[in-house]
Amino acid sequence: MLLELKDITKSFAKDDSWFFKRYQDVLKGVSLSLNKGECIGIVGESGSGKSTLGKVILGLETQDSGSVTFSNEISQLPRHKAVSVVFQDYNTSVNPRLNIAQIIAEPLINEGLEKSQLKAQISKLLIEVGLEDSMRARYPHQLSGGQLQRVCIARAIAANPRFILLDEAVSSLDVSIQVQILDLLLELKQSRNIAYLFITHDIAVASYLCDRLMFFKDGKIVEQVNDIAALPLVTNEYTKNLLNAASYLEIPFDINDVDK
Amino acid sequence: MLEVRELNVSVATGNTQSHLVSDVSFTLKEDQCLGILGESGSGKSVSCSAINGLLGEQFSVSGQAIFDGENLLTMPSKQRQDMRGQQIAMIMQSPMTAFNPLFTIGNQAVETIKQHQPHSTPDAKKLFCEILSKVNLKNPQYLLSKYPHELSGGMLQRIMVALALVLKPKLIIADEPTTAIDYISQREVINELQMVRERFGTSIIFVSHDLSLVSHIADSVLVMHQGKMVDYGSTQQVFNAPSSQHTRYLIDTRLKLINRFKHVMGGV
Ligand SMILES: Nc1ncnc2c1ncn2[C@@H]1O[C@H](COP(=O)(O)OP(=O)(O)O)[C@@H](O)[C@H]1O
Ligand SMILES: Nc1ncnc2c1ncn2[C@@H]1O[C@H](COP(=O)(O)OP(=O)(O)O)[C@@H](O)[C@H]1O
Ligand SMILES: [Mg+2]
Ligand SMILES: [Mg+2]
Repeated sequence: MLLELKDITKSFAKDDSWFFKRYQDVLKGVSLSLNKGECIGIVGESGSGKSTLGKVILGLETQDSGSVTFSNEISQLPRHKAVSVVFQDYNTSVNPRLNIAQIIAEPLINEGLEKSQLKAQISKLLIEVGLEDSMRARYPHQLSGGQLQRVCIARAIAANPRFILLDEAVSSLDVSIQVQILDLLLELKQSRNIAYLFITHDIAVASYLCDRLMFFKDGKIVEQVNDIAALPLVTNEYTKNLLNAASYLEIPFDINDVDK
Repeated sequence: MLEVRELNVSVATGNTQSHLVSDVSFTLKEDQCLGILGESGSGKSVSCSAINGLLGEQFSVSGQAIFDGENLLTMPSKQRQDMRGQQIAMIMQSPMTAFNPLFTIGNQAVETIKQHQPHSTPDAKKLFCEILSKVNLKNPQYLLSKYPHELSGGMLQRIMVALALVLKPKLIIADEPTTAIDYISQREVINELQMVRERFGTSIIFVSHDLSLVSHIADSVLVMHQGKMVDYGSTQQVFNAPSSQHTRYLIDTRLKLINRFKHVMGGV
């Protein structure tokens, strides 16, 4: 086991009332465990608390109760080496004044890599995420969304983490680019044995990438699917409703599938 | 009803002129839905804004957009503005920014209606409640009393559609209307638009990067790529026998993405 969450709760003060404080419970007791090299999808609609859960795992927010435990192997490492993150908004996740090489170099420098090795390591990472070495001198605004998200992934794997949290990491990309990025994530998972927690509202994307799915609603896991093949057998009303809507919308009807 | 011929749009940035849209042509009949499909930056929004006269001074637009016998692109701006309120309605991607957060939904709807039609406030309210019921929104009075932040994005988008309907437009241009909302509400908005066509005979231009959504709602499809129209025909024809490589590519990547989901769900 790599990561274990036990009964995480979190509430935020609502600032809509000036005479007494009201709280909104955003996480209402979330437990899950993630194994080495595994990919779990957290699937839920917007506002359900997915990003907050991600932030608690990363230590960017503190839970009110419950525990986040990383395996021994990981907790001995410095945080930046063990755990990494890729967000949806690639534009605000990078410093626009740094060039691509500098962006990717950040975690490597943190790790104490010698300057002489830096250049070669950056080239290796760029190639690993499917970018040309010649992109190193460019700035973020000179890249497309898909290219920039690749840079974020290169940075995320730079320190060779065991675990990457991906929060809607492909949601603002065109479908064709989504497929490329998901394939890259699958490759990296294989080659580097990285575990992912993949947060998304998109059930098709989650099914593409993940081994297991947790359906998230109102701050709780309402249903867990351990085998994607068992998706049609879900029993929770909300999950059923979501899958129905998704099947209806996702699957284009009447299009000849050339593979068949 | 709407015939667009060789629509071209370019924009002046500094002293260079860049071409954003080239030679887009299509015909839209009454109560039909045209889907405009393309990846981001392909020129979908620019084309729609050009047709609807919403582009700023720095853009130059040529070609024709004949709406009920008149060319929208050469119409005097006053007439065009009236046209835009009364006959052509636009629904945008982000429902949250379309409403003013400081006023109730009812307040804003009444104001909008009164801008275009000589109604008293109670009459305008009544009219809007009727439309809300017609598009199957339950409890209209309750909705009218809400502020935008008290409703979900999906609900706001459905209210936008209803508000667009009040003026009985002949054409609704919906630019990525469901991109910012969740599946369950997406399905509701799509169903609502379907119903609008059937009940009110409204024509729809449905803009999306999402091939599945377009295949669900459109009778004909126009595919854009880098500012050009690369495919155009009936939905059947475009998706089953695409004439352009790019359309094929959009279909193939989409099928690849949903393949596992589709497979386990049994291709519903
Ligand atoms: N820092 C914060 N302060 C107050 N409320 C917050 C904060 N972060 C998130 N929330 C609220 O928590 C709820 C869940 O948000 P989020 O975790 O971002 O959901 P999701 O990622 O599933 O869309 C939302 O209602 C949001 O407004
Ligand atoms: N105000 C503007 N000035 C210059 N270029 C613009 C402007 N608005 C849009 N563009 C460009 O026009 C192209 C088409 O944009 P748009 O129609 O918004 O694409 P989409 O298909 O995603 O709706 C893009 O390359 C975009 O960068
Ligand atoms: Mg989120
Ligand atoms: Mg657009």
